[in-house]
Amino acid sequence: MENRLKELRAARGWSQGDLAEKLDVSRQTVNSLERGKYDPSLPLAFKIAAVFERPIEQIFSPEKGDMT
Amino acid sequence: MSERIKKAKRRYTIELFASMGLYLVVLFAALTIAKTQEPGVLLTALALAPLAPLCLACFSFFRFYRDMDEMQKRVSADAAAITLVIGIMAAITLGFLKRFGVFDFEHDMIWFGPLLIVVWGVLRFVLGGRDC
Repeated sequence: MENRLKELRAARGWSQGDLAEKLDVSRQTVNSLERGKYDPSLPLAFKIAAVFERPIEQIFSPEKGDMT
Repeated sequence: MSERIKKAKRRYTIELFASMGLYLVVLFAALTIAKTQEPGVLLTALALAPLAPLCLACFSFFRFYRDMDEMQKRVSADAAAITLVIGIMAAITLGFLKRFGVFDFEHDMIWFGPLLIVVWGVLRFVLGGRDC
């Protein structure tokens, strides 16, 4: 799964630590999410969407090949 | 790291080190006293005494596990699964070595459990990094 987490976070001037605090997760988890190393659960994805005030589909998208 | 997780990790680290310190003290005390004891209730109690601080460490970990975020939980579970495989393979290997009379590890088996905990801790670090 691809995501725009890094871009959206940077646009708000937040550090990974700031985002981790808002999501109540570790900084390592934010880092792994941004690098696409970890796909969030649905509840965490909804939380991310709420923090960025955007629908989930504007933040996460399937990687090419995921939909086949 | 969120303040809540940071606080939980700090508490877990303190409790873990205290439990492990207590474990070593109880273990060596029990081994020393046991040398002068005949088989019986006291010797059984001495043999089981080191389990008490280990139970404290387990309680501490499960409380920390509850406070982890979802990725930390997954990393811990993945590391536990790999540790289980390593533990099973090590136990079978040692069993064969003993059975075939190559080497008898019986007196060193007391370190097997703590060694697996160390393996699991290292794997958590390797799989999840410093924050896991």
